[in-house]
Amino acid sequence: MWFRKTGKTQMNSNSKTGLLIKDEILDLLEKKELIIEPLLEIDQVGEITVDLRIGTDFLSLQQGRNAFIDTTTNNIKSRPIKSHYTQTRRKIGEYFLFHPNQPVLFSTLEYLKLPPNIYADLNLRSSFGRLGLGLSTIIQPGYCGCASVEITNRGNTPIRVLSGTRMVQIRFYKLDSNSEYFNKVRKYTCQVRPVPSKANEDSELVKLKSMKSK
Amino acid sequence: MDYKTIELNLCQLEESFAKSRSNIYSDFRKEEHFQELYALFQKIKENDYQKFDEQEILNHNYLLNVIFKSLEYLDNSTLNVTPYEIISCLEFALNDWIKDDDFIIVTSLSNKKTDFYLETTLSEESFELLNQFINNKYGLKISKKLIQISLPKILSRDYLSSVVLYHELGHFVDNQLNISKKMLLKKYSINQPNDDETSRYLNHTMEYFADLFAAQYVNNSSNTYLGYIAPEHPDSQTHPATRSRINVSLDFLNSKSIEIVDEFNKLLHLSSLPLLEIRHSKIDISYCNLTKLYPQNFEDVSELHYIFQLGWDIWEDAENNFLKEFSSRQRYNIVNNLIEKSISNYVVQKNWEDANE
Repeated sequence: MWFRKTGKTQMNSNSKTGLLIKDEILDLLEKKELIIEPLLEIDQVGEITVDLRIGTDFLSLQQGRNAFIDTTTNNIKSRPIKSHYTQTRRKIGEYFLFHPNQPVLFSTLEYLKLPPNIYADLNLRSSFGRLGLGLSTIIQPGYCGCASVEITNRGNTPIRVLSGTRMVQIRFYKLDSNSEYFNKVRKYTCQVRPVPSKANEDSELVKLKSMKSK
Repeated sequence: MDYKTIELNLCQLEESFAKSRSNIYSDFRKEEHFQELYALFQKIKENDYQKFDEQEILNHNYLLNVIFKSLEYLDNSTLNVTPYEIISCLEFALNDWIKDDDFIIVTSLSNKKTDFYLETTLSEESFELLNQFINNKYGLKISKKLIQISLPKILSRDYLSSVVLYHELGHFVDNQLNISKKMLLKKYSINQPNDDETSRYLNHTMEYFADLFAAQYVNNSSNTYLGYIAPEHPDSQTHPATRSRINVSLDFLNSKSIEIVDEFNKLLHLSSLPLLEIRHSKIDISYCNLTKLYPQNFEDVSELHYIFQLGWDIWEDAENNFLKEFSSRQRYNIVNNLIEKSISNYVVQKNWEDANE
């Protein structure tokens, strides 16, 4: 068994809410209540975070012939939001460049499945935050799939990274009750590659447009 | 045909290379192959081809067409385009039959929905002759041979239909090891078909071998897909009836003694080649990870091949299983995504362990 708990605490994962610590995370992984796969090295699990790696698939936002990205319309006559992105793949160990001010979506190498009473937030590891990269992502309880991460290089210098690098840290928070992820139609389910924005598929858009004429 | 044919080909190839040179290959063998093709192209271009005799024109026309075809496949084999995960599975299967690093599996994407096929490849003998010719003429060599598989562009990330590629790989192995041709020789004492009957026999034997080759790895999933795209197709000059093909594979999978398998295995044994046998390990659907919406882990590569059958079993029963609450599009996407990630995780973990050694 490669899950080695520190023995520092004897925490029962049912016992408290709030930020999960290392032994609680390891306990959930061992019981398969929390899935993080592949976990290439067990030391990715830190005291209060787990390091996640850059995956192999990227979507870079590009300026095209359209003057703007239209998040208000979704029909066969409108250009899909997807067309504003360039899709590219890398093998683990190959380079990827984050150009200044270009939003990039990538999937984490790890596939996640969260229990219904745990949500997570993602942040950059400080080494990358210090380079001018920025991200902020939250993951709902019960989510399953690779985490889709949006990163923008806010500096003025391109940054080269290797696919597979530990770039992101995830923190888990326990709630005092379950939240059913699939109690509504989910736009992102079991995704393993980054998915472009589906802002134009929001069901409220039709309602909002109808209010204009009232 | 005269030297202008060579000139025309060279002009068109110039354009083709101008486009292909911007490709970035993650597989260094593809880059090396590209460089070898380019060196050959340059040598031909620099040659005084206007003075070629008729035979030299024929030979060079053939060479230039080989380069064209290779570029077509290389262009569609960058990591951005090629179905990397399924190719990884095919490489594991190929390794069971041909222990040789001199082959590169490349893909071309077709606009036709059912265009799964193996491009006719050079036989071992033809490849050697080609190399002898370019070595004598230009002092060059093509080191690797391409296994050229075409698949529909819209299905390049469709793992359920990708099972057909195991069938196509079976055709390559058959062609490379001359298995069906040896069967023809054994039955009719001829090396090449010489009438409708022998042509039909060879064609059907090749299809049965490719079906059985696929069944070794992906269980019945290749035939399941065949049942959707070619249901009840009757016997033809090129293919046995769909029903007959499915029955042969099912009998093989159920370890029933059937003549065609026995004949193949006798010949394979005599030729000191691997036998047709079950090369996958079943995963119990009741306990598999896919039903819990996360990727499957595999003990070994024989379980890896079974992921396609598992995917088909889950998708075909989607109205009744854990997928029933999802829309039909989501069901299909979920199964495909989980297959992709299961394969990807296996390959990444294996490479990680290899890098640690």
